[in-house]
Amino acid sequence: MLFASPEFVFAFLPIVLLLYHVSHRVLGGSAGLVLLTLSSFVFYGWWDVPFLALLIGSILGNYGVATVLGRRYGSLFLAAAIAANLLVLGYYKYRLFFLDTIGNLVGEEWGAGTLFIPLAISFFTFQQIAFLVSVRNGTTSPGRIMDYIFFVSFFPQLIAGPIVLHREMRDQITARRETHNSAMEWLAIGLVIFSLGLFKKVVLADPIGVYADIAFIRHLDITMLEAWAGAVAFMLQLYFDFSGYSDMAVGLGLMFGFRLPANFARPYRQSTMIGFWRAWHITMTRFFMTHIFTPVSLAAARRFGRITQPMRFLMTVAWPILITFAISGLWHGASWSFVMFGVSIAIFLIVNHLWRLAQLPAPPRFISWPLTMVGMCIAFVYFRSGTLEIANDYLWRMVDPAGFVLPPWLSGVGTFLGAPIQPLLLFPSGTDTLQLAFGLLVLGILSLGLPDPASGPDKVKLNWTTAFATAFVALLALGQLDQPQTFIYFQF
Amino acid sequence: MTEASQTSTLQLRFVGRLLIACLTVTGLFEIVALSLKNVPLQRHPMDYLITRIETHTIDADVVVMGDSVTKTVVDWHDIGPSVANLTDNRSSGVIGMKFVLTRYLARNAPPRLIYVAVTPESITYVPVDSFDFFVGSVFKSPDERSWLRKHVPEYDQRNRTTAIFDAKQRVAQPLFWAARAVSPSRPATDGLHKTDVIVELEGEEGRFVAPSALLGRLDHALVLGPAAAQAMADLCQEARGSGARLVLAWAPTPESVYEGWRRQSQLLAFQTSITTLHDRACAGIEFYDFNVDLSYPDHAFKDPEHLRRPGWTALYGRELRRQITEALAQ
Repeated sequence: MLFASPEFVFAFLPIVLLLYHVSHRVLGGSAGLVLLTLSSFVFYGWWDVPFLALLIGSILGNYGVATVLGRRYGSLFLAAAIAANLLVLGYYKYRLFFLDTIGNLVGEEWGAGTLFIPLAISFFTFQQIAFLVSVRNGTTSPGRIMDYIFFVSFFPQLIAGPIVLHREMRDQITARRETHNSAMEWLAIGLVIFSLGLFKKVVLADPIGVYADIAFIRHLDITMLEAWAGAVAFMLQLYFDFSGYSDMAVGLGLMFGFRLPANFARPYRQSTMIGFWRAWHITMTRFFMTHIFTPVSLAAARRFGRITQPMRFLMTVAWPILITFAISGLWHGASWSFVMFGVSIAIFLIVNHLWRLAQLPAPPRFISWPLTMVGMCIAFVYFRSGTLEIANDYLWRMVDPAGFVLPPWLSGVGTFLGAPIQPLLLFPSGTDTLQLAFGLLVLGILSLGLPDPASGPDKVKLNWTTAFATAFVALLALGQLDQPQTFIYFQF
Repeated sequence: MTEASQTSTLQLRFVGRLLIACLTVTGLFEIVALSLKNVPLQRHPMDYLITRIETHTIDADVVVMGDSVTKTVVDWHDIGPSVANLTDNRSSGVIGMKFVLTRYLARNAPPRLIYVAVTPESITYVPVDSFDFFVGSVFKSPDERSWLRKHVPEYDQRNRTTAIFDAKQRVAQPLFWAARAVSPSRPATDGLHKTDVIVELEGEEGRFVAPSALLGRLDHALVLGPAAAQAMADLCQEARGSGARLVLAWAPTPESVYEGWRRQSQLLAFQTSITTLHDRACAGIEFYDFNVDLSYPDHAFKDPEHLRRPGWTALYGRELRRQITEALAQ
């Protein structure tokens, strides 16, 4: 079930919301949480019932391990549990990728069947690994089993995050369970944030995504200007799609009285790569920095503590960044293009860190901002392309001077510039081009300036302005619910 | 007052404000949509074509109509000295063609020749899910509405919704075009670029559609439904009424598909069904087949219907020009 589907908006959400708050008040906090947990299973099972068993098995297995982590051989248990989680993830998501890669290396072709990736497996696997590590470190405790089941399965964050830490939810769950207060004071603010997310997804992301789809699917037919337009369209689609989803998750959480962490903080405003990754998919970056970058960097610091720069930088910063983002790329999808997505970001980040290390003067914003955006544009081409071959071809089209072709309706300009003329897919007429340019401009401005209430729900004022803004975005979005759609991050 | 009751009051007050805001916003959108009702939309090639016809005189000896296979060629190649390009992609089918011809003839001198070059499937096609987008919201004159009501049963059953739920079509697009700084529509004949094309036909190398993918076209029965049949009959009558000759030409088709049609005698049966339509309204129609003198191998196509560029497309352009010239000379 998609958040932006009519069955969710008009049936599932209102029913569950009503039942939860009523049962919470009438029967108590535990009943409310049990109802919400069951609703989460319905939500997940709506997609595929058999895989619900995998989710429940994963939850119970990890909880069981967590209860013995504090005892003797806890580290061994932890290592085995992480390995088991990764094995399950690897089997379902990376089986073909590894077999293909090894097969290519040894010149063999193995039939490994069709891949059917359980929904949200990357999210709930990593969330639970973080939980196990936290239990082992003593920063959280397993708590009650029902609370843990609720924590992992809570439907607003189950499918595509934000990747919530156990310690962020533990006290909230306890508070909801132990009181008759279902935290209805957040209901209206949750509705405001959910509406904005819905608007971002169905009114902004989906329409611009059509242009990105044309450019990437028909990448062999596009010219330089179209390649750029398609890549920028995808940047905007991805941001509004995923930040819209995250806003909806945060809004839904609030409607049920839970505060989930924000995932985005206007990343396209950032003018450095480091700043961008502090504002983009924040909870994922937090996970990878905590569980991969920091341990690798600390281990390197211990091992190479006495070496001097630049080797020290190389071993304690550059290498951990490369490892972290390559794995983060692979987490996004089982393909070398996703690995390259991570590697390209790592390279940009390393350059950014090197610049700081060398204490070079910060370039003016009118230089650093476009550079950052072009860097992310390149990375997102790897993200969108599906294969390295397509990504490299696409990137080549973005810079190949021979691809500078103008459409027939610009034949006057073409003749003046000596540029070849041919019908173009994305710019078939001046009218279409104007619409696309207008769309990109409006979305670009909105990506920089649209309010971000998910980052600070407390600041939302329930006044007339908010009421009108919410009515505007919600009605526009509701009118588009019947359009075919999916969330880009659902595939992860 | 306790904190809990204060919260409840705040929530209730906001819900009340939200409801009022929803009603106000819905009403405002309705007013804006109403005031923009007559702004010509520019969403797709049919919109552009209609705007061109309504705002320019495009007198010509030959009117060329057709689907995207032909449109690609006519938009780009010089196919004759006095040609009105009324091609569109298949989106509105033969119903769209009929309305376009009617509108054209109402504003321009009658042509000598009306040349319809299409794939047979385009003649049978009637949009279903996108009917309102490509037909209903484009052809809105009383006559057109009346025709649609009479011959397309679904026309009156389409979903009508408030302006804010259809904001793109009823508010955003008209606003955009009402405020446009440049005129998007030029006379159709201006779209003809005279280019000297050296025809180098693409061979079996490179990217072309797999033969197995082409055969899906054979699954489509060449049969006219009631609305398409009526539109075709009306188109024939419009042509006859204007005194122009009407030629229906079958656009280049992949060899394997054409062979399939030939084996099943589909094309012949389809032509017969057209000439015998509604009291033989199309009895005077002339048929031409671009696949008889020349055959178009499967590798000439980039997808099941469209020719590869630039070679095979240019060849079709040259053939079309030759054919139109010959037809005019007769």
